[in-house]
Amino acid sequence: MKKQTHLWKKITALAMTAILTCSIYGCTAKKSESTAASLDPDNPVTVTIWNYYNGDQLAFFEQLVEEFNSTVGTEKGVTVTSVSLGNVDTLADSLLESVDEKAGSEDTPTLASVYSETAYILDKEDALVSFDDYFTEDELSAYVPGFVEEGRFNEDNDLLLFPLLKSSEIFAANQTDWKAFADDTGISITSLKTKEDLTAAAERYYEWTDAQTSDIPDDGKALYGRDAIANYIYLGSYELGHELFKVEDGQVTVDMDRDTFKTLWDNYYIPYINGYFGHYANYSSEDAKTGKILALTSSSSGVTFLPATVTDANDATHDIQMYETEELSFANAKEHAVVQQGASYCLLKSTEAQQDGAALFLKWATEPERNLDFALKSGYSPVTTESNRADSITKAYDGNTASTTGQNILDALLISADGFNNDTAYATKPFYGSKDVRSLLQSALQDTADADRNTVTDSIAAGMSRKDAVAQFSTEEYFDSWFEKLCEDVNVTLKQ
Amino acid sequence: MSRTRNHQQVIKGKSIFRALFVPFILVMILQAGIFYFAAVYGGVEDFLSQNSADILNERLQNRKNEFENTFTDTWTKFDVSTNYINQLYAKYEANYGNTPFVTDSQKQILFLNDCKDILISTLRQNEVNGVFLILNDQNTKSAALESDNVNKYGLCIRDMDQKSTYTNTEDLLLERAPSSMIETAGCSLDSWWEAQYNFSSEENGDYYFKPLRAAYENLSSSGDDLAYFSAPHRFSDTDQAVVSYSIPLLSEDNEPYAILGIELSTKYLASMLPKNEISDADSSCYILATQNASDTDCTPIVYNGILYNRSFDSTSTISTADTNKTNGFNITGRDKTLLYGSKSTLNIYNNNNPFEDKQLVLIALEKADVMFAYIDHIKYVLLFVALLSLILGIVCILIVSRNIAKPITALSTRVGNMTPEEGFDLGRLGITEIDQLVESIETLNYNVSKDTARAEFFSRMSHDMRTPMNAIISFSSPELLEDADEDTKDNYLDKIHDSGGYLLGLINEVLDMTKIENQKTDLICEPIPVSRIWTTVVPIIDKLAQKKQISFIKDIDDSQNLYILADEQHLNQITLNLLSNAVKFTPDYGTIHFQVLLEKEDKHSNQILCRITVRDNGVGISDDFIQKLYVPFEQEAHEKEGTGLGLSIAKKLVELMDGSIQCESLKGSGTVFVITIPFEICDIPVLYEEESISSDTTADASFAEVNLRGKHILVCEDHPLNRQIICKLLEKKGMILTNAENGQAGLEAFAASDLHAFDAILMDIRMPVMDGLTATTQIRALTRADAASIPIIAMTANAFSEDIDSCHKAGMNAHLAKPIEPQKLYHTLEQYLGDA
Repeated sequence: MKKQTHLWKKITALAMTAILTCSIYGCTAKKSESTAASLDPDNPVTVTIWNYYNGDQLAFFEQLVEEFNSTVGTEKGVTVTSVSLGNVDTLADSLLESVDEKAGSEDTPTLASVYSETAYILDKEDALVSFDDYFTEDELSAYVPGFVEEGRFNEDNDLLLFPLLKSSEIFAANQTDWKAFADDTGISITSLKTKEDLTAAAERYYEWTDAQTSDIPDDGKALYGRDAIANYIYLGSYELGHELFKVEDGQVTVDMDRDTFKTLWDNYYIPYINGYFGHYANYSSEDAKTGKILALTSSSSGVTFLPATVTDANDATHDIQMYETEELSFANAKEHAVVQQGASYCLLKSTEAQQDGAALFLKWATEPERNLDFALKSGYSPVTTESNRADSITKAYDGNTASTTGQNILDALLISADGFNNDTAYATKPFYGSKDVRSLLQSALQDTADADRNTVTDSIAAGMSRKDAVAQFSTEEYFDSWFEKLCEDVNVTLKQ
Repeated sequence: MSRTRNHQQVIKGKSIFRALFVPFILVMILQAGIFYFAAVYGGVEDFLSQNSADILNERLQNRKNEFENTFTDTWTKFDVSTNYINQLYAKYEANYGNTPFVTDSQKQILFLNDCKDILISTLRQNEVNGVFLILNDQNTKSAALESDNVNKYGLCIRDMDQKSTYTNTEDLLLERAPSSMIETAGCSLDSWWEAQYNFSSEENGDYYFKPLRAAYENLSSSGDDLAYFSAPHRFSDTDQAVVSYSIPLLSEDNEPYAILGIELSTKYLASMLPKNEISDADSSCYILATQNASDTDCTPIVYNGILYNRSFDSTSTISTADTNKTNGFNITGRDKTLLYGSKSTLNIYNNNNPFEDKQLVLIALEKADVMFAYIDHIKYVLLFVALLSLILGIVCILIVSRNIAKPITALSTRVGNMTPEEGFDLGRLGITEIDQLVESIETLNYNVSKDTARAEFFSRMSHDMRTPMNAIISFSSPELLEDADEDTKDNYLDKIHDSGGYLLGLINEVLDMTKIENQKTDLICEPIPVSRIWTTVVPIIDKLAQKKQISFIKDIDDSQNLYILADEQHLNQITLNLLSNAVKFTPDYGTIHFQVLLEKEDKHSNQILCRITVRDNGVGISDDFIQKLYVPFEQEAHEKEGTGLGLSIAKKLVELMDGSIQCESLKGSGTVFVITIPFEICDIPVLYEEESISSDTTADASFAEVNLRGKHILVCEDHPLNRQIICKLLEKKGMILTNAENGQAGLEAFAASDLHAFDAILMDIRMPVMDGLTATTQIRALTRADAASIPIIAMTANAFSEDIDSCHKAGMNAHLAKPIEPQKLYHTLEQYLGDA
């Protein structure tokens, strides 16, 4: 009996030791090592992803989701549901309403594609989960550092945004229709080296097109248009040596330099009210599609929307070819930078299984080969270092059937990769009021330009010459008043 | 056969287990088989199959109804836009003349612009993915239906999230719209936006051309009756597929001027087909398909479920030709999986719709082995139940047979191992039948023991009988008599007489016990005075006690002058046995108390309880022997003579009388016997003239001196010795004898005799040719005058009460038991011949 008792004591001690060891190991293990712990193939969990993709990008993304659901998702017990909300601003508004549980709002998703300004607000409302709980340092090291760094903006340096697809900006031009202009004026697309060159070329183009309808004065056409005026302001300020908002240790330093803004003003507002630049539809790519502009600055992810045909006002179409290059800098730019954009994904507080499932999807979707494949279909840049290289992109593209759109995408990805790897990738860290300030800056310049352009066109329609019509808006005083108001508005916004 | 056997000899034959097991198991197998096959193949399987099919059909119908409701409800809501657009077109016609769109693209663009808001509004209010309006810019049927590479102005707006409730247009996408509308539409352009619809064939634009053609060919029909449900189509390879539901818009002249339609993405339709509603997605799926009414093949539009991908490729059609008896159909997937299908046609068209022939059907598919899996499961359960029942039955039989066999085996072992010295108490095993067997075995042992005791008894009897026989024979032998003087001869005669009497007592006791054991003893209760309980035996015991100088103390309650119904003979036998034993086992100068108490339960009771107590201060009874005091033939070691039957006879007789007997004894101190017998009190004394067997020595000895000389006696006796004894006794008294050696001879002698020639007949009972009872009956039946009156006296060794009763019934007057006592003989004859 004594021997038996002694044996049982040994067994009990061994078992307790094993249990204790496993418990300690379990507690200290990263969630990423046991992501599937809460997942059960027999009781699949639904992960809802809000995105703002459209068209082909949406289709490709949904194909990606379907592939996940039918493979890893089935195996692990995760079903991803993709919901497209059209555009990033609509998505952000809807998400904030959902988090605030406003009447009529949608159920909060598990993942949502947002900019850092929106993520900042969500973090303040304690609605986000850190991705550090799901990715080890080793895993994160595979991603482009700047993409990951963009997701760390709070005091605790938590990773609150995870990159799935990023983008930059590119300068694209309808080289088919540009040829006639180039032939007549000698201004080729490749001769444009700076924004100032573009402004001058746009003026020349307006005059050239106006001359084609000699019986109708001042009906020249715009050469150029761009989306995301805020990017123009932020990046331009940065390149000109006056970063608008510098965030360090949670403190925001505002640097609104008059001369810098004057440069910005002179290379967008002035040509805009003159009709050299234009913005007619929701996106510049749409204006290019309808022949209203020949050149644009658009998100590299919008390359799938770059037209392969142009439909004129008579709805007649002709095929075109687009030329893409990196976005132009100012002549006095201190350094060349590229904007780092493309909403990353935030993880909203959900059930443990949903959060595990969301992390699993992101890991799977950003596997280099898969991520690059999606990039070559959508125009978004891949997010891992390995895949965001020119050789990787070129090699992967070789497998695709060549098409105009495909070629456009390839060019855009190579331009973006070059910018991310060789230039400064600029992204504003969010701060309190950064979302509102961005909207303020966006509308301050564009809305003013739209309103003043309307006044000019009305004046022209009333018989005034363009020069006279724009004169009142071209003065230093007018700019200064606008700039002063802008500064006030920014201060007010930041103080709210 | 030897009475001793080696109980370990192999017993051949079937064990209880085998005897029970085989027939039971056969019955149970048969039962299980009948149960299983009757349940499974007796219609249950068909019923369950139909039930499974019904469940599938019910779910299919519910899903079909949901589809129908969705389509109907959605299209109903488009009435608003239909009416608006029709009214708008009427205005256009009023302003610009009939067919204003013909060759006037500006009017078309203008019209589309005017319709934009109503279309967006309708799109917002419905859960559809898109809405379109395509204008007919031709005024002849042939031109309008020209479909080879034609462009049409139209407006197509899509809402990819039809559940969204935005009020602006930021989430809408323009798929088709004139370029001049882009700025004012407020919607972004989709990747594959084009300014116009471009159709390459009627099939390519079936959602436009089919309803348009139907309108031209059915001029009297309204637009709603010409609705068309299209095949899936898409604007580009990367566009998601949509199906359209479109109707022609008709002018007041019933000319089609446009096609209005809604779009539902295949993704949305698939979301209306729940994956796991039938069973899991691996085993089932819904398919929305089109089918020509006359065809059995269905073309899938959308499906939901992994099963479809595994079973069919993208170009497969679903054949519903192979119907089954449950109103479904069977189909085999490409992986050879057998599928069960059910189909239901969606009623989405109005009556007489020209496209009725092209039906929209909803199909539910399920793997046959999953659908009917529970049938197999039930079969297995039934089989399991049957087998379980069988196993339980076997176990039950095992337990039962073990429960039967084990005690029997134990009993067998006990019996085989028992020894006479250990006694025989097998105990009880709690099973009635086995305990009965045990009791029988114990009784058998008892009887065997009794046989053993009987053997000992016979051994002792042999001695006890031979001893007085020896005395009788020896003392009557010529060798001893020839030289004996008269005193010696008288002594010899006394010894011979005593030996004869002792021998007679032995015989009587044996006969009594035999009768009792054979349950042939009946009590003949007659009214007797209560004093008879002691008056007969006391004198006898007095004499016996005197011989040993024993003080015989009598304490008798003689206050009650009652008559009781009792068997006097057996009652005296009981009392005599106890008292004679007391005398036997009390040494000289001892004391015997004899007490008789009479008690009434209550004064109104007609029963009286008689308590007889016999107490002595004799040798007592050992504790061992007192356990078998009443066992026949059992005697204590010190007993040298006697049958060992006296107490057992007494106990049996007491119990026959519903009484009880108790004994207390202390070895060396004495013994007490207490007998308690209830007697029924009777009021009317009935005197019997019959003599009892009791040795009533109080009979008057002088009675024998009544003059019997010259009386003529007919002696019917077959045994010469007995006849000689009787004759000698009768001749000694001067009677005249006539002998008959059997009943027949006696009957003939009497019948032939003169009337009243004989004075009496002495009739033996057991005789050859004719026994005494028969002879008596026949004598009494004779018609002669003395036949009924002549005294017939029985002489017989049958001395029991029933013998006496038989004699009475035959017609005899008296009964003398052999051996005949001379005085009794003379007394009886005098009693019947004295008055003569």
